[in-house]
Amino acid sequence: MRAWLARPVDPLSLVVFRFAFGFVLLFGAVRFVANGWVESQLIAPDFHFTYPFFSWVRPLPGYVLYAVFAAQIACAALIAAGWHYRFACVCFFVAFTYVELIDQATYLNHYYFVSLVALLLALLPLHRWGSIDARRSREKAEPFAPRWVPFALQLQIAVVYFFAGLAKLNPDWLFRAQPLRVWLSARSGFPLLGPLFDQEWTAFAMSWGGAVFDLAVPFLLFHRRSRPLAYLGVIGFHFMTGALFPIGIFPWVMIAATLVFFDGDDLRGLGRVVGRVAGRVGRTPSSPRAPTSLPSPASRSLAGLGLPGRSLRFALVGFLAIQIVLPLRHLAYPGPVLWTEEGFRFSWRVMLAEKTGTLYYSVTDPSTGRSWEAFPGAPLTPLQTKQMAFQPDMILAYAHHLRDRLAAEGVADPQIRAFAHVSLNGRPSELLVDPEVDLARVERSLSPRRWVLHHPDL
Amino acid sequence: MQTVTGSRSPWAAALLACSLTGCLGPGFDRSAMLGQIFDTVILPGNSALTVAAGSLDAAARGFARSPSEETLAAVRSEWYQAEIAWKRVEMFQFPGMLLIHNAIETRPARVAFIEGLVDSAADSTAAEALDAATIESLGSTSKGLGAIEYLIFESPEHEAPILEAFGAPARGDLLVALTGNLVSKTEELQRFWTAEGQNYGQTFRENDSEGADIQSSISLLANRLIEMYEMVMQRKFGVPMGRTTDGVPDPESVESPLTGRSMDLLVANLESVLRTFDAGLDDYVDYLQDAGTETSLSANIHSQFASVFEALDRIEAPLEIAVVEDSAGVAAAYEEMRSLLVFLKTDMAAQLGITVTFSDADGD
Repeated sequence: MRAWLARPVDPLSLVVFRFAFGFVLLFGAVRFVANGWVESQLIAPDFHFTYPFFSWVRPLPGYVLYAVFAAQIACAALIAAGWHYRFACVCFFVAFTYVELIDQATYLNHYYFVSLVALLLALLPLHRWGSIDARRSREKAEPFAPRWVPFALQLQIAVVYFFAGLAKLNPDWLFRAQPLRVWLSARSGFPLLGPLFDQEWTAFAMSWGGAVFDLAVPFLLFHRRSRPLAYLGVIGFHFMTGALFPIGIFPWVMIAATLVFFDGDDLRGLGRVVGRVAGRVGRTPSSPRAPTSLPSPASRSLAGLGLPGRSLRFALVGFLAIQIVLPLRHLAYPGPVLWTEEGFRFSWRVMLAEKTGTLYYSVTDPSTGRSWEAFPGAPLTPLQTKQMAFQPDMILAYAHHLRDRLAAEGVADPQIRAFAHVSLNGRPSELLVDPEVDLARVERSLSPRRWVLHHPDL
Repeated sequence: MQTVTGSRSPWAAALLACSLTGCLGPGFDRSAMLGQIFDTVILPGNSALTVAAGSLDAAARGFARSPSEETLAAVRSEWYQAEIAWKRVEMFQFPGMLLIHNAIETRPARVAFIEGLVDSAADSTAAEALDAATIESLGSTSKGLGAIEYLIFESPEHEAPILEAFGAPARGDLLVALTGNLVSKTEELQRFWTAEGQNYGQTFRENDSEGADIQSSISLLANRLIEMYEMVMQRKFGVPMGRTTDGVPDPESVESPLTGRSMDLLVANLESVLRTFDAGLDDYVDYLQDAGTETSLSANIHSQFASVFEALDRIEAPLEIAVVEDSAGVAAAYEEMRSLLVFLKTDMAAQLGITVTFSDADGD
């Protein structure tokens, strides 16, 4: 194993990965700003749903937030070019993760993926190949990469697909073809394929196909013979989901990231094919020259890198271990994770639940005995209002916000009960939260939430 | 209405047994459903509003010419008809129509500004002060159905009784200028929907492709329907009863405080929601429901609508009085409305696969 991990390989895939991923990050940050989301999602709301342990993360003043995005854009460009690479990776990771931690309503699995890869890139020496850093310093320039460097990135991607596939092995996905049935039937005007989306069997075929794809594709990508087909599958799958659903840059992130599975020769072959199709023989601009031959394992020490140092090894193993534990943490909580959402985030549960909810709070002022109802709405953003209606931790957070706001207005110790009527995957709505429980007195914690009701059909 | 039989065979058998075309059930004709809603609810609603606005304008002219108990009763009655006709199309506010809708009604009216208009009209020749261009340029709170209501119904802000006040011609001139503007706004709205103008009816009918696309007609319509319903329940009903504010009734916050007809107005709003649902959305949500679901969602929604209307019917006093004197009846109606809200905002939206409340952010 150690020998395998230290084996020198062609670094072209790392160069392509760094360039493609940096470019997608750059595009993503520009798109976020251009869509006006800095203003609408981060600056405008007067209340933010913070994460446990990170409630100290607050939105900075507007002009600083724009500077944070400028930093993301600049760092993404530096990562792509491999210039001041380590600094750029750390800076991008901090700037990007900070923005993601501002509000739970904006959580997306692919944003989490970007944060993870940015952190991983900061640990890996991808600036040693095909980079400005490598050109400027002879010391850093290496003709070969040790196998563990691409392997770390490949494992990261494999974790995403595998756990996304594992999460699909649930009764709704497999036996009710939900939520794809609801989603597809709403898109039956899609060009050419639209009429198919009205058919039940299409939803079943796509559900099962999607589960098999997610579970199998990491293994197929690892093997050279199945790799071209698997990558075609990756492109097809992500193009399809990108065309059908509003998932932003996610398809591009994954299409770019999975390039790291290819050998240098494969990529050159691919480049030639692409080049021929485009009418010119080209090569990725920053790709290094092809090594004439790989050194034998015996001479690998000449490559100058070998295995990672002790602390880096420790960090990489820990990084991976955490990612295997997090998607499984829902097992520590009672009830189905799709309903309770305990252990839902950071677990690659992508496209698994179509939830809609109606939420209001019943407020009682104990000093007067008066009761009334509070419907969350403006100045919360539409996105916040939508997300909080079916996520218990957000329902609790807003109950605390109401409590504190009322206290400031002179209503001491108000009782706050939530009525959240939620539909999961097309089922009739059910109450998500126990309306008998006074949420003003429930503390936020990671222990199982006794005030979340069980779904009678789950 | 539409045939609602889809292919219900298990997927594996279906894949093996049918050729591609053999597997395609008839599906649901969304464009036909949208066309039906346009033809049977929106278009006749807009025509009725234009006609009612014309009648109001004629009655206003008659009243301005010779103010009397009879002509006042006539203009009030026509105002009421126009207001009800408006409430039946108020929910159909689609992209590009905001300004027209606002000009037809934005409450509450700015009474101080309206009195200022009367004064300035009295100081100059009415033809100059109150020509169509001037009224057109007014802010929406100074014109439309709300401002007309203020002029023709008794209000604590009026210095003199109505008939006496209309003895001065400037007041009548303003009334006629406002009803004239209302007529042109309702005609503008009608043109927006038809081929004489922007032909939005065509867009509405054809833009059925992507239900989840926030710009598609089904998504826009469902969102407007739910917003209208929430507006009625939370604002027009919940605020006067104090249920959605601080528990203290606030009778003056009813929608039409001078007329005692606020309940009729919100019932007309609710009827337009039900009519829209009945014109095809009911069949569509049933079509989308899982096969074998015991009670159809549309049946649940219909019976809950019936409960809401029954509970509202039982409230006999005008809303501003009922919220104080019949709190039990008002509370019962509110509870029924809230149950219906869940059916519409959660269950119906879940079947439609639409995102309630507009947000253009990504999902995953």
